[in-house]
Amino acid sequence: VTDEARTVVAALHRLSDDVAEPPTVLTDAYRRAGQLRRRQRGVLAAVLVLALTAAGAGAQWFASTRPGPDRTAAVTAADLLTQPTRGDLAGDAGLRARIITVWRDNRNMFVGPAGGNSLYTRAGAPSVLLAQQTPAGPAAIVVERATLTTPEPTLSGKRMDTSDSPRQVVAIGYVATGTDGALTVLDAEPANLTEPLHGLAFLVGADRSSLVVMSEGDPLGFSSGRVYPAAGPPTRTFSPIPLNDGVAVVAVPPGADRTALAVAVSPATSYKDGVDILNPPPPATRGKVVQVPARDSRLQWDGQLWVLPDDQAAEAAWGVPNLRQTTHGMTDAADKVVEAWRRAFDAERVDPFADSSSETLWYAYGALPDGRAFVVGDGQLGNDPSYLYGAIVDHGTQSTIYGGRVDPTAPLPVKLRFPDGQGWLVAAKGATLAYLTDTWHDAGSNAALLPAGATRVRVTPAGGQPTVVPLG
Amino acid sequence: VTADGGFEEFVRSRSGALVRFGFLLTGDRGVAEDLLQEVLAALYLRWRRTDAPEAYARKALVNRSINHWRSRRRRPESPLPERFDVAGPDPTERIGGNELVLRALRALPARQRAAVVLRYVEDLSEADTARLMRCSVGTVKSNAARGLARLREVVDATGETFKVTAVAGQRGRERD
Repeated sequence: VTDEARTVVAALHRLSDDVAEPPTVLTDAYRRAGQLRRRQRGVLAAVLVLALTAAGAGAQWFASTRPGPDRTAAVTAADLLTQPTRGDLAGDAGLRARIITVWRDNRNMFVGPAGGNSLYTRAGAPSVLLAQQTPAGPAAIVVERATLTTPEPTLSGKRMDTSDSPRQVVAIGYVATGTDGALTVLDAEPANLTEPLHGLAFLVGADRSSLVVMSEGDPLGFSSGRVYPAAGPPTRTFSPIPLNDGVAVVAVPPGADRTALAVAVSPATSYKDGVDILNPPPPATRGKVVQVPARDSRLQWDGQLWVLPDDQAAEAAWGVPNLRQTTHGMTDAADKVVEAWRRAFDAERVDPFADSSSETLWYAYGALPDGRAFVVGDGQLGNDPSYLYGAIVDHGTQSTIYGGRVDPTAPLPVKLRFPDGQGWLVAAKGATLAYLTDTWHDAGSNAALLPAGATRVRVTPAGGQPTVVPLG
Repeated sequence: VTADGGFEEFVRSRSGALVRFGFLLTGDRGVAEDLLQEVLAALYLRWRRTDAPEAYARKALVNRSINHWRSRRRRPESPLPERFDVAGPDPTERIGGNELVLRALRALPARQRAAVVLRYVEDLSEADTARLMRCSVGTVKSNAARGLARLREVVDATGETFKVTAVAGQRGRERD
């Protein structure tokens, strides 16, 4: 460590000296472990929902729009405790008794730490909230009032209900039929009594092909994933779920990525409009940590900065004297550029129901022919392919531009047409570029702005053969 | 060894150091606590198959601090403040040195924060930092140099108030 670094390191140590772990760290870790199982999602594939086909396949009930006002569900977790059993097997007393038995025998594996050393204690009798037949056999939801002990408030004061300790929660248990035909507890989690709920949903079956949905009064819609138009942000189409007594079993398209499914009230504009989907890991992966997202489809052009067409024009357009912000001989994109790109790829806005988002590792930025500033990079939602997102900034006003899907294996992974006849951005790291109008013109290497009249790009990778890629 | 194979003991003994590590990686105590919860939960699920739990936890904290995963149930986090400008009227008259350093830390891009913490606080080599951050050594150099320079600006500007004592190897408390 250099002398220069020592003062900073000392300052950082001083800064963190009074940071201590929350007193509930162990309790929280166990609770999160249960929630993590929900988010462990595998990747399967895509067709349409059988139940929805019967209701009118492809009918657009509503499409996701940009974020609007949040609406809070009228029903809270506490209300679940007093509801009668729903579902087509609700009248089967023998089944209800077996559900309660399997819940009592297994609840501590999920709600508290394994081995029965539970930090939760029962504060009431369990009841069967849902008993429903599915293609994979009977499935159920059990609810039970429980006490969660939280010794004292957390340091940050941000956590819920830290003022009442111990606090009352609703333990929600999800039960399904295993491949051996026996009932099994898929997962369970505590919910605060006052937590608003639009409903509950969980996937069952060895291939998680059936989605059991229970509504708390709101009509619900189902989306099997995001759709990326040729130009514009990704959208979701929610099809109405045909509820019977507030319950439905939706056949999940066999090709659908389970991480991209969404259930929400209409119109769905905020993540608060959604119903969390319990997605238990397949038995083969149970207990293992699954990467989220499962695959990284971004262009692995880590740290590449391409300022176009040249620094002088780019700096004039951005109004920043040094777009490369050289420090100690190292360079990075200017904050103003990075922030503009992040505003264009704001996952909370692009898809409120995205489980995860991954930002670009590179930037192409500078000035368009008309003098406006631009920046382009690629971003990924969940396990989807990565797409180009960009911004055009004109005197402080920013507009978002949406490019196509990036294919890291293509000769020309980046090919984006700017609006208003401002030409093209093309990029292929390490390649020499040329473009065709009436004749071929050199375009330098790595990335280039091309005129609107360009029709083809010749890409020559280092040490490789040229490939001609059509534009448009 | 407890019934959970030592997980509880690990959490009790190491979570303090881990949350401080997470705090420096994120610049936010609440976010650090959230990340630590997620990491410990993941660790719990694989506890019996993990030979080096602390290394796993630290690597996971780095990954999660850089890659900003959103949970559906988590409220949107506040955007990081703009870069703190130490120019102008003496800012230490309004707020203390710790607060200024914290603002500067928060204003850094996540990768710069991670590079500074790993290279200088954790004293990792550039190569090890690059492996942890899953990037090139050049990127580590760039991010660490820029992040350090920005923090240095603030630390220098607040030196009187902050009274930084620069002693090689001095650490306020055991961290590793």
